[in-house]
Amino acid sequence: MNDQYLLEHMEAIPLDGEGTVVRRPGLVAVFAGDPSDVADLLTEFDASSPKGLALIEELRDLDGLEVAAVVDTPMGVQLVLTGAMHALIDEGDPDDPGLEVRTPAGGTVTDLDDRSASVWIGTAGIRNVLRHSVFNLEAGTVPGGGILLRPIPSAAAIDTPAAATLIPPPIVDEPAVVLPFESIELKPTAPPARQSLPIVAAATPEAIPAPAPTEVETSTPTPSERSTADDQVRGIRCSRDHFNNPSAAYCQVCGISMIHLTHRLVPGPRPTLGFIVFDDGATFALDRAYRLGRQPDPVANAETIAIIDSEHSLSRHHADLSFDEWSVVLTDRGSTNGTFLWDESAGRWNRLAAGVPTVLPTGAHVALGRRTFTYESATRS
Amino acid sequence: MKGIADYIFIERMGTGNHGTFWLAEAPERLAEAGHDRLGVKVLDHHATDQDFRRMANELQVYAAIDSPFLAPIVDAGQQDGTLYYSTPYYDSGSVGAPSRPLTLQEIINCIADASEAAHALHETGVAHRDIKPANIMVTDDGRGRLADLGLAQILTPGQTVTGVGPVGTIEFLAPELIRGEVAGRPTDIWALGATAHRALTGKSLYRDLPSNSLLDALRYLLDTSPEFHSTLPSEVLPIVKRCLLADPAQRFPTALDLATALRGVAV
Repeated sequence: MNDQYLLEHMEAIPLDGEGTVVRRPGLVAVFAGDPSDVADLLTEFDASSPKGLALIEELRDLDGLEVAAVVDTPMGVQLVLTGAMHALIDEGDPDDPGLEVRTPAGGTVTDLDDRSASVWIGTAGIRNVLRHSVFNLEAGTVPGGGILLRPIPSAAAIDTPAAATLIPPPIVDEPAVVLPFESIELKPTAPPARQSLPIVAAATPEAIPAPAPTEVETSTPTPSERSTADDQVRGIRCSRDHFNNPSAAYCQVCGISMIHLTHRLVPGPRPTLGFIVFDDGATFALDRAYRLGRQPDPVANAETIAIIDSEHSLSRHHADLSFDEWSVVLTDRGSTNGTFLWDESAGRWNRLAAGVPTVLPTGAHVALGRRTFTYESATRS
Repeated sequence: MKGIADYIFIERMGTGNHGTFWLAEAPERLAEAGHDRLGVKVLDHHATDQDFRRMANELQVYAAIDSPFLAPIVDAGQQDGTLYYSTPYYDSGSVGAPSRPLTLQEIINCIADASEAAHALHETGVAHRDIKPANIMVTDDGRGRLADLGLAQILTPGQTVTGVGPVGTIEFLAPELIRGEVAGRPTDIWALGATAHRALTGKSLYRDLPSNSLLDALRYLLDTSPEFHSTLPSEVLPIVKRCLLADPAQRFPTALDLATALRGVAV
């Protein structure tokens, strides 16, 4: 077994489906439900100790828990399946469809000893990779129905067989050395002067409070109140005075129909134009412009989003999300690996030309390097 | 993890949206104040100096608020870019995971207490942003302590949902937050109402919430009105309903109004 399966040299790509996907050092697992029942087991898991084997036993013994896991143990890397979980071990031979492992009652344990193999684990239909996502889960918990484990190409290339060792060096208890830390003194002193939060008045249709231009603004405006000439758009107001896109049939704030309103265009501050959801579930509201990248520099008129990118597929400042009237606009900033928009009808990714703003339709799938996000306009229809 | 700064961890108590919660031995420098065991929240977010200053500012405001129903923050800091803060340890657990069975009346009392604590935050200009059953701690005499100020929004402006954890916790998110409105009194009042519904019935407000995709779940939330489970005590139903009205202006004007309404309920 000198060609052992090395979990740390594998990328783990979460697949669509119901369930939860967990990755920790030495462990990748898919649970059919919420894994909070076994959260303690997972936290205490330590690949270097016999506990790795104990975890496998405990997972097999838990009634009603459906799990597929690949676990590093001192005895080698093992695949555990319980319930209706499946696994498929694909050794990359085009003439060999791969070894499909199903679960007999009581769970199963299989040694994995080919480190060039791809391993799919999860619920039925796991080979259907989420088409738009190639997100490598490095650590953490995300929704998902399966995981594809496959070698990271660069890591496999530099790996020398003689040096391949599965068992990490034993952890020696070090003398308790406290790393430098900073602590804030928290004392109940007089509170810094801050305004209380505004009470949102109950406006009835009969008594619409007039917009209050006379109100004296003393506090620092909150981000959504930051208003420059660029944030002004022309729109219509519903019968309750909420500001809307002229093409909206229903008020986006209160839902009242605006079909029979006279469409008189008035200027106003641009409302939030929906949100974006990244492949790891991080969600950002489009109430402001964003600068996207591996490590974008701060800028005055936009917030920065530093996107986690283990594979260095993103440029430092990769792309910008901004607005044009009532549209969300994406602009590639000359990134090395490109910014792509999914074309559903052609079934392929189209690369955006650098520096050319592109309007995003609702539901647009965007790829930045190997990370993806989806734009949702969140409009009522 | 064995500890952070001069804390030594005893056991892991849970994982939240943006960090892990540990039971720890209190460091000697805090022993004078009578602390022996503390709960320590360690944030996942890798912090810059600016993040640390933002957190420090927010926690200073929080520490200065005088409300008997807020779980106090004992200590906070950063080590090697990892932020942490500590709070007292509550033997009885939280409304979401109590260590002993709670009566319906105790749950209602705890949520009324948490509402009063939220009001004290609001009066100081702070929105909590992460009220849910797991963040209302229970004292030995069955009273509530609002804990775990939601710091994600301060550390990552614009972010409404972090990518970690089961989709189920998004029922505490007011729909207007998904649309990008600023957190405030109405969004915390929504979360208090959703917390009451979850704690009193054990059921979700959204029966068919898609669980396989966060995007589908968010879309569903925007298009669907919450449903109230039949086991919700009838005395509480109108109060919870008012917290969960789609129009923020129709909800209770303040969390204190909500607390007053809940204190009038006997089940």
